[in-house]
Formats: sequence, structure tokens, C-alpha cells
Amino acid sequence: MPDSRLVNLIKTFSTGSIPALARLLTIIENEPESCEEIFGLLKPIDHQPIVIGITGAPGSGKSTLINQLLRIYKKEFSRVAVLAFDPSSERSGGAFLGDRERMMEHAAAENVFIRSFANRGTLGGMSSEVYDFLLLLSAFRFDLVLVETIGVGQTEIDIAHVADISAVILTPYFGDDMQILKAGILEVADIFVINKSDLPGAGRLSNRLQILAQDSAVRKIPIASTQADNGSGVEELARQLLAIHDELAKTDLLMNRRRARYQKHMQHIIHRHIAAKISGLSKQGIQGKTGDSFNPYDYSHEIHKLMNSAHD
Amino acid sequence: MSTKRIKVLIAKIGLDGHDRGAKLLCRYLRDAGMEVIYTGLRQTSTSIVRIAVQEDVDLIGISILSGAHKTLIASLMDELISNDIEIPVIVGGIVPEKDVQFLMAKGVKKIYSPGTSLTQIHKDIECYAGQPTRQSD
Repeated sequence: MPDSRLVNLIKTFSTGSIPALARLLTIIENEPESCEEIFGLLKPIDHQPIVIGITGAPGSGKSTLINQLLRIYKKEFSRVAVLAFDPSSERSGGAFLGDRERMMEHAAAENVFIRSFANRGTLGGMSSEVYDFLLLLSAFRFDLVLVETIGVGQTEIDIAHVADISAVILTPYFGDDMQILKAGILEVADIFVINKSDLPGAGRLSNRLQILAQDSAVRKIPIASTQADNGSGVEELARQLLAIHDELAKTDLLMNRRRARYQKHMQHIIHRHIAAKISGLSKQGIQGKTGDSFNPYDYSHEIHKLMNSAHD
Repeated sequence: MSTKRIKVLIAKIGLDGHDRGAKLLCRYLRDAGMEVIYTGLRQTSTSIVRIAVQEDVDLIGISILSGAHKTLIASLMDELISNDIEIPVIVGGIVPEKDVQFLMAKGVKKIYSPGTSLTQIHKDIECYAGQPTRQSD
């Protein structure tokens, strides 16, 4: 039986209502099991925004750069969205969502939609529903979506699956050649941005990054220099990001990346179904067991049984 | 997995440069398990309403120490009503006793003076945010 709350919301959503869009994002975030019905009702979704990922360490200037980019992009595109992620507290589950404070000058802009999310314990740089959020923004027909990750370390690289292209924001005190050679976050960059480029060490970092930029067998990775606080270098960055996207779109690369994103999204949906099916199983498994006699594999048979019934 | 969390917008309205109290409250509510957004200084009622809608928050907390509460909060409440938005609003700051009735009549849920305990505000927010005040729910 269709949920009348959702049916009404989606009717309003389809008229271009921002409150309905905002409420649906909340529902997806809090009740992801509703996604089947939401996206069932929204079919067909025949629009793809340009999705640009902005990632980097805490305090590197991601939000401030996005604020500057919005000044330019809100004039060039008819609908721009920002999805900004910040970490949830492991202790309390609460979060301080501080990205949007840097973007306040766009609060009254008619064509800019900004939404903050806590990662709610999901590793990887965003929350687990990010694929569904993006799909909803596609259905709303945004032209451009900027996705800001939480402040990341070396291994939070999910942005590479989520966005069409990713900018990795670095600051002059990033580290020496050994850091540059490490796998992880630097590998996902389509462009390196040296922000706070007025600080000492910016030139040296740029030289070091050349190792990655030039030796990359597949593509050349440009290096941009910015000062997000005063906007220096941002116009060039805004242009470069779109140029990189255009280049990808001319080949199969963009389509391949988007296919990889759909695949990740589908994997996520499958995991969600399985998790719902077997939630509570691990709790059942340890019921009545004492530490000494406990072997987690004692329960393998039950897990297999449930997994098989998941096919029904 | 995902569960519902109370999402709160803490906002500074008008020309008022003091936000230590607002930041302290943000931190307290974060530690109480809420998701908290802070607007930063010198916001207009229009901006605050738009952010509250985009973020789909459960409550708006206004911090104001400037003395312009009668004008600014009245305009915020009017804007909420004219846009058909039912989000509970609480106010903290320097509000003289004689203005309290005026603001309550405008629809403000509660007004907090200096010296209020953070625990009290936290408890009230849990109560107000849980109230089914929105029609589309």
C-alpha cells in the first residue's frame, strides 16, 4: 500500500518545492528503507548533474573554497546544490555541522541549495545515504552539485565513487616526498588545489606534487593555487574544474565513472537489504554464551540459512 | 544504522557580535547527541528561515544580546508564518521582562535569560522538537 505521506510529498517535490526536497532528504537519512518507495514514485529520473567532489584535511579550506566557487557557479548554472558532511561524535552521536557557516552569503540566493549532514558513523568521508541524496538531487534537476567530504585523512576516498571528478585540497604544511608517494587520498585527485598558498612552503609542495602530476600514466593532474579567504585563484579553479569535466565527457571516462557509481549504489542497496534481513542475528548468536565457550563460527550454519532465505 | 536525531539551528540575528553563549550551547547540544548547525554572526530573518527550511531542522534557537529583539524576532516569526513553516523557536539573551509577553504572543516557545542552565535548555529542546508541529508529517 503506498504511503500517502510520501505520495503527497513527491507530488509537491515535482513542482520544484524546496521544503519537499529538504523533507525527503531527511526521510532518506532517517528511514533509508523508504528509498524503494520514494524512487519508485520518482521514476523516471532522466537528468544528471555535474558532480564535483571537494575533499581534504580538516581546516584545509574546503568550505571556504566552496563559498568562493558558489559566487561564480551560481551565475553560470540555474540550480546549484551543496552537500556538506561533518563527523558525528563517536561518544554522543551528536554533531556540529559547521560547513555552512562559511557559505552564509549565499543563504538568500534563490538558486543555491545547501544541506549539511553528519556522517553518522560511516567511514569513507560521507554518510551511507550519499548515493540516494545525489539521486534525489538529480530528480530535482540540479545542474551542478558540490559534495564536501568531512575532513579526511589518507584513506577516506569514497568521494572518488560518488563524484564525477574530485578536487583534493592541500595546504603548504602537507608533508615531504614520502607523504606524496603514499597511496590513498592523493590517488583520487583529478586536480590538486594548494590552498592557503600565501603561506611559506606552497612552492615546495607544488614542486613535490609534480612527481604525481607528471608521472601519472593515464592523465596529467593539474595543480591549482588558491587563497580561499580572499578569493585569489578561485576563478581559475572554477574554470579548470569544468574543463576537466568537459574533457572526461568527451571520452568514455565520465560514463565509466558514473556506471561505477551506480554499481556502488546498487551494492549499497543490497547491503541495506541484507542488513535488515539479518539484523539481530549476531545478538541472538551470543545469547546465553559465556566468554570461555564462545566461538563465533558456531553460528555459521544459522547465518547461511538466513542468507539463503534472503533469496526468497 | 541511521536513526532519527534532533537537528537544531542556532542562529545570531541582526547586529550583534557576541556569540560565546551560542557556541557554548552548540557544543553542549552536540554532546547531548543532537546535530547542531550554527549560522555565524549577523544574519537576517530571511536567511535564517531559508536555512531552517533547507536543513529541515526540528527547532530554531535564536541568540540575541543587542536589544533589537522586538523588531528582529517579530520579523522572523512573521516570515515563518507567511511561509507556512511550523518550526518551534526559542530565544536566549537579554530580553527584559516587559518584552517577554510580546515575543510569546508572536509564537516564541520560551525565552531564556542569563543564568539559565544548559541542562534546562537541552530538556526543553527535546520536548519542543518532539512535538508534531508540522502538517506534512
